[in-house]
Amino acid sequence: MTPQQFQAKLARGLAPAYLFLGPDTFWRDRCRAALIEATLPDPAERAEGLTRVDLSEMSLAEVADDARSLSLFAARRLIVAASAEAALPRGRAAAEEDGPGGKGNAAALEAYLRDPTPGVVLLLDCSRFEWEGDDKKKLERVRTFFSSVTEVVELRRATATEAQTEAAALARAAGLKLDRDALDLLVESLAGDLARIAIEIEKLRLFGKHEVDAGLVAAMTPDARETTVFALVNALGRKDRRHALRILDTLAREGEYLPLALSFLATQFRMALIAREAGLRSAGQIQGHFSKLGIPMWGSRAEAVLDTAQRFGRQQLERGMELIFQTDRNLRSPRPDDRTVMEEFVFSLTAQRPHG
Amino acid sequence: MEFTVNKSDLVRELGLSQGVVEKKTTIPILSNVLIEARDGQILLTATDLELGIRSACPAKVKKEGSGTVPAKKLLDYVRLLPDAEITIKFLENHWAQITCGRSRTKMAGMSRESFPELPPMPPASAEIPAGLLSSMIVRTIFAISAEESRFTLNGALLLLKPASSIMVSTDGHRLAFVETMKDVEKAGENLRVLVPKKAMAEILRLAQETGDGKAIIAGDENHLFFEFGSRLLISRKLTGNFPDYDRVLPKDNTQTAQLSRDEIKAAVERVAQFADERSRAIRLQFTPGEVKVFTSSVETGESEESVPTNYAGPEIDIGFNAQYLLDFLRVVPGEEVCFRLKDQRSAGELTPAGGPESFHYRYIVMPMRI
Repeated sequence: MTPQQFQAKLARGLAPAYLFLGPDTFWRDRCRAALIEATLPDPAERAEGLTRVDLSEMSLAEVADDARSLSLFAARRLIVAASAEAALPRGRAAAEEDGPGGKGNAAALEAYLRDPTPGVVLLLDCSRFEWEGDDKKKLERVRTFFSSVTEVVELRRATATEAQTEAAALARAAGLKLDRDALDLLVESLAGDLARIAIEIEKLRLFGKHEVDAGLVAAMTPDARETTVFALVNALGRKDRRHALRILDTLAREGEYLPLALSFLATQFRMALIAREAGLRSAGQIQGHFSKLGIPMWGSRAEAVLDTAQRFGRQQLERGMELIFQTDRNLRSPRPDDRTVMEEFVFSLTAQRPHG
Repeated sequence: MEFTVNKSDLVRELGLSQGVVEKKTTIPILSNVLIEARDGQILLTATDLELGIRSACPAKVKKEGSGTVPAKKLLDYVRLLPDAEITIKFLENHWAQITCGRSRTKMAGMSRESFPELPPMPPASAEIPAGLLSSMIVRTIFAISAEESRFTLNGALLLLKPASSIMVSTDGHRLAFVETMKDVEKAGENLRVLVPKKAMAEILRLAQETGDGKAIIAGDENHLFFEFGSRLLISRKLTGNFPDYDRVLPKDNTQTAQLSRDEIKAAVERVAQFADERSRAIRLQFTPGEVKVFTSSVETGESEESVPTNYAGPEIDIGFNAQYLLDFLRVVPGEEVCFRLKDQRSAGELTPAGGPESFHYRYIVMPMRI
């Protein structure tokens, strides 16, 4: 179920166990807060009634035993078990033990859920895996392992459209009026991360200005713009060597995972190539073209793709793709320093005539 | 610094510091014991920054001064020396030269300046017999929570009032409460402090060594002080709100069963061998004249025992963690114990029964759903 469905369902009563699946912190925080509120409405009960455990430190069977042991001080309890993925068996023998009729962790949970303790709610939280790529299979494995938990909340990262919609709603709730450019900039610079968007909107609210334009967003969220890999991708997409080197310096000092920038840049170059081949000449055309292909895109992203398509010729884009591949390989092979490899890449990519 | 000390005195006092010094530490000086020689005695100090201990023993001080050496290594070595006088001299490079009979050893030490300073003891807040304090600790220490996240439960509540002393510990599923009406000599207001578990274990050791002596208790903003003669234990205070224990002490457990402590302990110990290893869950069935203790597990088998009792109430079938029951049954004094129950979902209360007890001792255990 979606976080919204979960919140609506809470009002109708509590289940003995819930499984939160996915990486999104914004909805995770909201759903967890709603569950705490529903289970332990009196804040005074929470000191004793709310138990936090980590399944990388204790077994699921121990958590089930804890749920079965009644508490002296709390009539109602919520046990929040983080790192739910750590309960999964490792190795074939362990997996067999956790199979049907087994005596492993899953069986212990299943046995508990056949006769759960009244007043006790178990929250199993798996935030490690993404819903896309290789992680998707891992998430499905987690879901299968916890199949005895019927209430599953999927916490997916917001799509571009959802991020825009939710950001607008958050701004409205905060009493702010963001113009379209400001909203685009906020969502783009924070990579559509709703948790960070919520924090920035709170900052803007505290700043006390009711009407917010793009200038204010840029001034209030400078770190986000300067330190995300998106900022590096945009600078490289604009062939802005000086700015790219400056952002690279910040990213390297903060220990950012640099191959991520290459991955995003490769996407941007491919899109720019498609835009050139399709003869797209405006951001609107690019947005429409990619939307038809099933790739939703907000305005500022389309403008970035247009910028890249205009600044790089077809051959330069193809050469850029080769450079990205080489740099990616260099980052993965024994090398002196990621930063040196990336700096060489920036110099090669932003040269007036490509070399290397 | 140079002094001569009797081997048995040194071994005894060094032994006290072993529970305090850090064995695996990233701060090497915390593995060392600070030795200060002055006024015809040596002072030994050890700390892990949470707990500190200072003790003294008589010595012939040739030259006053101080130095530090690894506490465990020194004790291990001194134990092996013959029973004779030991002379220790600290050299310029902080090494200690140890001479005993025909043995001569140089042990690498560290500068005294890098050893942490322990806070001075403030004026006493209370004074109670050491034996009383150790009895209270023995009756409660096992119920302290081992979960680090529940830090206010990582120690016991000590309440010293003019006419009584109370110690309470709990891990959220069980609670041990002991109260004694013996007079507490006081120097100020009622004392209410949380004593960390590690400090309690050391206090127990010191109190048992002290025998009939007194324990002087004091506290400053961050520390608790327990003085037993020439020995001083300093512990960081646990801060936070201890749960309202009074609220969970049962008031309407009217079904009582008196049993022989040894019989029920032996029965639970035997039956628990077949309980689930993790949950240690067993069932107790109270019927008129008899308590059945039993468990069954598909992995290990099943076991059942019966213990006679004077119980005359309705049948109650209740699950408990066997370890919780045994923790109490192993320390409770007297030949008889009393189970006070309400029903299978409410907390059960265990108390000593039969003989005169100078302590008001109550042990509350929540049942397990089996």
